[in-house]
Amino acid sequence: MKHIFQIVVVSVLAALFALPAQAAKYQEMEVADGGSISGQVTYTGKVKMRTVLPTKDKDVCGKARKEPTILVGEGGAVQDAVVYIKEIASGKAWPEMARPVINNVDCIFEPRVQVAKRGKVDILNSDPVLHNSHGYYGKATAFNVALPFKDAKVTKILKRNGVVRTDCDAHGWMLGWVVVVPNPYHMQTGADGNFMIDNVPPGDYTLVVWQESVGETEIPISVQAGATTDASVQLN
Amino acid sequence: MKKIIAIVSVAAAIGAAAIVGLSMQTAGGKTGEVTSGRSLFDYPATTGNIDPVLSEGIEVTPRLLEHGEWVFRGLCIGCHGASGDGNGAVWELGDLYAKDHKLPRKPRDFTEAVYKLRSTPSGSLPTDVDLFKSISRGLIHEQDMPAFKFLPERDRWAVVAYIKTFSDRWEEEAEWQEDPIEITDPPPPDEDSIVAGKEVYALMQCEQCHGPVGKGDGPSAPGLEDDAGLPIVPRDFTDATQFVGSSDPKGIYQTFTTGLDGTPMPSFADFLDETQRWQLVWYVISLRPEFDLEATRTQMMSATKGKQVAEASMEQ
Ligand code: HEC
Ligand code: HEC
Ligand SMILES: [Cu+2]
Repeated sequence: MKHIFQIVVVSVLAALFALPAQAAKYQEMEVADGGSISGQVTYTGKVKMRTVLPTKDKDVCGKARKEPTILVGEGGAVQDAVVYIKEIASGKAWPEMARPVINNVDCIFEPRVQVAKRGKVDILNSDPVLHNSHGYYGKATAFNVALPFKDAKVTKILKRNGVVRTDCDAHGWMLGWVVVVPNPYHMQTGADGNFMIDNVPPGDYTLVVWQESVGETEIPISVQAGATTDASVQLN
Repeated sequence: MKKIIAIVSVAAAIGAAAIVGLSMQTAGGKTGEVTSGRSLFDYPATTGNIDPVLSEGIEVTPRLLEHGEWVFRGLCIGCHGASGDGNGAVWELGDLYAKDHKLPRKPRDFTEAVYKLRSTPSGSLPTDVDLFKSISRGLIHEQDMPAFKFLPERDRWAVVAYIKTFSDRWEEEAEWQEDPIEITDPPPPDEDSIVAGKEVYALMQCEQCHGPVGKGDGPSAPGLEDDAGLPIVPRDFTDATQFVGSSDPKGIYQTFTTGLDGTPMPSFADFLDETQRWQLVWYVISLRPEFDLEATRTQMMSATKGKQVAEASMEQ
């Protein structure tokens, strides 16, 4: 009994002190002698399929169908992977980034995957039915908004860096993703699976490759001044 | 046998709660100033207040946090767990030993800092007063969480401060928080506002989840889950005793304006004007079998009138 009490006390104290240090803010600076990181994201495993089973609003949402959980093209090229440097204290300036938009079209999130910077996001409804866009960082609600009719629009704030999964409480099968990146060193792959990240201050970093069904893959990389580091990765 | 153990431990917990409460009553403290005739450390005449006497809260000091930890250990740890993740013994035991006494909802995971009852927009953190009120009122639906309004206010402020230490969101997202909404006093209802409210209810598609007459049986209701992955049912509006938040007009206004984060109940902040909001509130309330339009109206009118008379005499 006493033992249990000790455990309880110890864990409460541990909880108090184990709070992670606040992630340092990214600083913009002039990058002289930057290097680049490039490569291709590939996948050779079996492509898992997800069943999409509209149970209501069928005239808008369409019929039952299957869709791949990873978009694989020629030579195993993976589309819609997001590649970014995990932690970097300072580096090139953020480019102009348009405000991200999550559009509900035919009960599908458009785009399915996108990259954003911490800040505002517009959520739109292009369908004549109620959507209820519900974004999460892991289990934590990022936003939970009803879009009761066509052309309804809500602006919310993505308050921290990380992956936001978007569901719809009205249509349980809907699924979309926003990767809120911590710095401007990032790229979302196109159909060729390629990525290219430039102007990186020389140094050692961890590169994160995120894909919606694989999750995060981390690769250690080393960037040299004026050189290109190959960081091709095969997901599994 | 196992059931008996469970019952005994629940009884012990309640006993402990009472003792902690009573001993606090005499504990007093430096900041024990008297506000509007009531001491911060006294029990009010009734079983307790939900709104704090000091709406600005009290200063968070290491001492207050220590005090909050003690209150947490005494009264909350059993459900919310030592690390605040909601995996307390009552939750886990409920699974193993006493299926019929299992809590219907998982105790809140304070490490995620996602809260249902907020005066702030969806995705924002609640204010300290919001947390104070939830702890005071309890989350009554299906006996989710008991009310702690009997606790001295200092204990409640202390535990509010303490549960915030479980998540870094309070610091990490501080600069991105959205402002709380403001809710005025409700206008008294009439026939027209309830008819109009029914239209708002249809336009906003509340019935998709709550059903055509608010019984919680709309077409989207089956299969809904909360953030712990547990099934969750849209509220049945005909039973005001089964709300997790406040079931009064301002409470309902807040619920559909800010949404209940961690549940499928979304925010409708952007599509309604003030008039429509109150119409919707009165329509929802009118679904209660005990609702009496005339009585509510008369009562509210005379209350406003009394207030006006009082204000007028103050001005003189
Ligand atoms: C009998 C178990 C039990 C005890 C004891 C308990 N809680 Fe809870 N608490 C719950 C459950 C279950 C929920 C989730 C209810 C829901 O989601 O509807 C909850 C939710 C909460 C919430 C979230 C409110 C919101 O807006 O989402 C807070 C804050 C909270 N509890 C604080 C406390 C504090 C502080 C104590 C001790 C003074 C305490 N609880 C004691 C079971 C308990
Ligand atoms: C996507 C489904 C969904 C929609 C649409 C929806 N609700 Fe809800 N609502 C819920 C769920 C689920 C709960 C129960 C949450 C809980 O138990 O914590 C709820 C709870 C509530 C509550 C009770 C809060 C409390 O304190 O217990 C009110 C009031 C409410 N909803 C009003 C509305 C109104 C008004 C609308 C339309 C403007 C609406 N809801 C639309 C799912 C929905
Ligand atoms: Cu939808």
